[in-house]
Amino acid sequence: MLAYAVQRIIVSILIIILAVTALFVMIQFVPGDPANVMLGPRATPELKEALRERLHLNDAFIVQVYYFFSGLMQGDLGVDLTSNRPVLGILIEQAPFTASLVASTLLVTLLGIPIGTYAAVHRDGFFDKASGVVSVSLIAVPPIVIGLYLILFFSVSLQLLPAIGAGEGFWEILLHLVLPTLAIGLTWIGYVSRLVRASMIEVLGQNHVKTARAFGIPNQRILRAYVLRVALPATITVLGVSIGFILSSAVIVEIVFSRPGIGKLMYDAVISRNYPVVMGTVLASTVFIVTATTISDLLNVMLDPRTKDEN
Amino acid sequence: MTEHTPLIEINDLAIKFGSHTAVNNVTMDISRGRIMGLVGESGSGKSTLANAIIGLLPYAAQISHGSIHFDGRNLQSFTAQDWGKIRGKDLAYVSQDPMSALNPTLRIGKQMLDIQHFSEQSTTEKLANALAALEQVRMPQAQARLSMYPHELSGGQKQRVCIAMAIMARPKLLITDEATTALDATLEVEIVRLLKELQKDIGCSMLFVTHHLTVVEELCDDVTIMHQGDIKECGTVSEVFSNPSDKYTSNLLTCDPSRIEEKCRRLPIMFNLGLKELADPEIDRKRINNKSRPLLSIRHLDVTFRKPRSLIDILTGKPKQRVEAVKTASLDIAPGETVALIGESGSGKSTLARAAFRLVPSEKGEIYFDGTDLLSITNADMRSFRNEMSLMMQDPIGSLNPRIPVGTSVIEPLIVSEKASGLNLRDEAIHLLELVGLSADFVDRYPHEMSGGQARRVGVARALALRPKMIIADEPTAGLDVSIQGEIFNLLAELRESMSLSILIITHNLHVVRHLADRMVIMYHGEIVETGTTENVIRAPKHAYTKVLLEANLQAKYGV
Amino acid sequence: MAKRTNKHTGLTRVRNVIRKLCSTPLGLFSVIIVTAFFVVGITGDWIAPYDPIKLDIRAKLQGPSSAHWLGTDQVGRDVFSRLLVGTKVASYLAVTAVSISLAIGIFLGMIAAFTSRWIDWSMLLIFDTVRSFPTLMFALAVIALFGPSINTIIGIIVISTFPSYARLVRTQVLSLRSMEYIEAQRAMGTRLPRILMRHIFPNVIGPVMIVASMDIPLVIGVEAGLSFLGLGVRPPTPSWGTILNDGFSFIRNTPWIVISAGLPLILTTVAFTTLGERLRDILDPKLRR
Repeated sequence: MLAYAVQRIIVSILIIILAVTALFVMIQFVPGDPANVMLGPRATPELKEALRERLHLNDAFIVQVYYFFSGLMQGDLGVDLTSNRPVLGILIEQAPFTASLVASTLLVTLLGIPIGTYAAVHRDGFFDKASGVVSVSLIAVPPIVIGLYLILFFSVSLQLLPAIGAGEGFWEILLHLVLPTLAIGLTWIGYVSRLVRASMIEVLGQNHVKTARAFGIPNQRILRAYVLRVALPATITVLGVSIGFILSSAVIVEIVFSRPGIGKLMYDAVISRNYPVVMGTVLASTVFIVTATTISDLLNVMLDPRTKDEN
Repeated sequence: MTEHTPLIEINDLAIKFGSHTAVNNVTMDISRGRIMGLVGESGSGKSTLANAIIGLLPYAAQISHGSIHFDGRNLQSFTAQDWGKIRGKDLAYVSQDPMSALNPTLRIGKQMLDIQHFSEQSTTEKLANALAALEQVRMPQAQARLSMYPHELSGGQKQRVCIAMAIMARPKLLITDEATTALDATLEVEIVRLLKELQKDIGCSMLFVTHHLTVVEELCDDVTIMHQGDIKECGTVSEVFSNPSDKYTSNLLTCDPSRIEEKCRRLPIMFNLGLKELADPEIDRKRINNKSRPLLSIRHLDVTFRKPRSLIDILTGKPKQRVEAVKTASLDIAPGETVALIGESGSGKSTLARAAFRLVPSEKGEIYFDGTDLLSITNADMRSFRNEMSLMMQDPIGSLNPRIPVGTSVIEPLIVSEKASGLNLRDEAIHLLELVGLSADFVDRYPHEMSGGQARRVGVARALALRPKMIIADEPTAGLDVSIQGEIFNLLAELRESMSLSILIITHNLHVVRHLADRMVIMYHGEIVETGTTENVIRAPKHAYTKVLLEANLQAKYGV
Repeated sequence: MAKRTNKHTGLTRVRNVIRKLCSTPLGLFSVIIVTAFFVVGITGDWIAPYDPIKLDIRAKLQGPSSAHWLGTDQVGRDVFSRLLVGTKVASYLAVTAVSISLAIGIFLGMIAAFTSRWIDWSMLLIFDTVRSFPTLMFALAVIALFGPSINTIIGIIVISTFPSYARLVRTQVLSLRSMEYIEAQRAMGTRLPRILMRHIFPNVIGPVMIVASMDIPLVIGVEAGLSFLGLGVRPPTPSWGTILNDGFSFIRNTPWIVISAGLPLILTTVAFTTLGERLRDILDPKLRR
């Protein structure tokens, strides 16, 4: 287990290093002078030269990568081109907004597990069929559409829930989280419930469940320890992967709901071509996603001792 | 409820899967304290019947008629709670496939605790019970097993755990569904003896579901024969086996290759018992050409597998793990000769065959085919030798591409070796299929539309497409019903005479293959431990392992 | 099983699948919507009742009427016509991005399954790296560097989806490679290209196609999202995302623009998912027997 964990973490660090390097490679391919692109056509040559010097754009590619990683080691992610504040500080300031959105979405997504379990146990019943139709409808609808419809219904028509900003104070923050969370999470409840249902039905038909039944082990115990426990690893893998999609949707949702956060930060940085902030947000989200998938993989191994050998 | 009523009374029971009737108006009793063998071929409904007794029919199955009484109580009226009270207490069940019968995510000890949910005892006491049960089934290192996961145990060990769980319940009825089928012969004998011993200890009744007649004869008191959902015969083992009253039963007993004592040139089959013909040493001698050099000659062959290292192994400098699958094996096959390579799973017998086709790399040694060392030639040169020997894989259906019709699969070797030009391929396919006794309309069938026996014939037809000098057949009768095994053997026997084929049969099934094989080669842990003519090996085995294998395979009454 | 002797060719098999698809209401719905999606995608320019980019300030922000079925936007363009023409962008992207991604994914997946362990391992690492970028954030970064255009969007979608195809193909091929019928081919000396094309590829393509059909909603969603942010298709070219954005500014007083622009997005994404699920039910051999 420990050996596997170490191995998995090494691979994760490799992935982060590769991802950052890939971004640098992409910057190399940008047509024209990056300083030109960033400062616009009216910048003076001196200004451009100063910027190039600051971002080490005059150095060789590999040297730039070196500067970035050595800065990273010291917690230095560069400086915001417009406000001159350190990027790390801005990230730390904005991260809680996005983190709370992702966390509440994940929590809502977990609802899919009981829904899927119930549907699998009462297979072909009314609940199973109804939840099936609803889930399949929700799975693919883009969060932007769900978000806009939610605003229309709950904020514009019913005027029940706030649609703008993140709110202040515990209750306000919570209220402001409802619609953005649903905009992303509805899809994932559907997805997870379908997945849990499918893997539960598969496991319910497996031989070891029959053995457990044949020994009269109480139904609740069979469901928890013999079915869900075996079916859950697949779900955890998907939840790990879902973090990436949730984060991705957060960009849209933060803009639709005018919420501060990493997504909004990145969008503004892209519009104003604020490269260091773009780099910083991409790095932060990549680290977050890689960590999430690593944790889900490790959880998997803890739940199902066989997976370790298959990898 | 008296001691004189049967424990299980089944009356006129019918079970349907949709419109298909799996069990057809079955009436049968299981007496107290006796072992009932329930025998049938695949699709006979025997497992469905066993599942019905424990109330665990598959999702699609439905009892349409009749009743099952257990200890005087009608099981059909049982609610989920009622079942919960008798399963694991009065009824215990050991399932077909030991590999999948245990929860992969819970330790053995935890699972053995779970099944004691009736008991008021403390966890420590329950663990002690579990340990005692494991020791009772003679599990090596029983204490350590409790904290292991199922995937850390071998197949035989898992089956012991399942049996230990079943006897812990001290049930009134123990149901075992093909509980020994997946096990090697030596292990099967051990488990069967263990079951018999435990049944005596507990004094329970037992329903032993199997397709294996010989095991029933050894283990059971009573026997019921099922065929296509019907009961063909029911009675005590001695009655039924010595004097079967039903034609199906008597044919089944006559056709089982393992029950025919003398070596046969042709085996009797279900629809033609008169086919039986004893082996003629004169014909066999003519068939085998011992004067020229051997057709296939394997010399001191080593095959080693390296287990890939994980990243962490590489970083910590752990050396590569090596598994020696075949150790200095030597083997000769003369033109026209049939040799059986016998060993249990993991003995390296299939690896040896794959090495001959260079499907796995050989470490050391030579493989001469018709005088050429196959290990020292180029891939292109190897290709021409692939036309002269063909390999029949183990799984009859799985060795055919599911998306390609049979007629195309059969002529695939012709196309691959570029010998197809100028041939009418459809005619050629029909010809090959007819050669193995299949009609022309099989040309357009897909693998999943055939039975195992038919698919096996297609496999033989494909192996013959290039008129090879030799066929290597990996478990040609594995997974086939007893009544089909004889047909496949007769087919191979006819072909080797008409086409002067050399055949290497790889099998664990010594008692079936002895009719066909001229010589036997016994393999154990990657080494060839004994070689000799079939008669000599069976009459006077030299190596200790051969003796064990023979004892497990052939019943004592054959005088072995 | 042994009773069937009728000959079935590829064509009748396709026909059978389509018949089974249409046999349930949901399946029929998905087939109709998906067909309509592609038909309108091709013919949108001709069947639209109004010029989708012609301004008519006097008719701005009108509600639904017999003249303008779904009303007009802030500069008086007919929303219905804009939606019809906007289908072109969505279907063009769905076809090109997914097929390029499929081609790359299948190719790399097959290579990964058949090369040495080290190359396989490095390819997996690269696939996982690419997958660790969140699609939209990656898209924003790329657009920051290269500027918005439809080709950029195709590139982004291809890069963020091909690793999952490649991984799927790789596992499929690996499991097929150890199947007995592949080993039987190797034993008879069949060359690798023939094994790949005749015996492995046809057995791999099914599951991959099903996943691809379920990815089309993702493609449509990414385009809508990016166009909504003003980073996708440039105005005045209509796309479902830009129409959503137009409507978003007036969501409080003229909600019909957002409602109508959301409908085709919901219909197509639901249809493609249903189609994928139905296809999997029909084609998955595990469920067939």
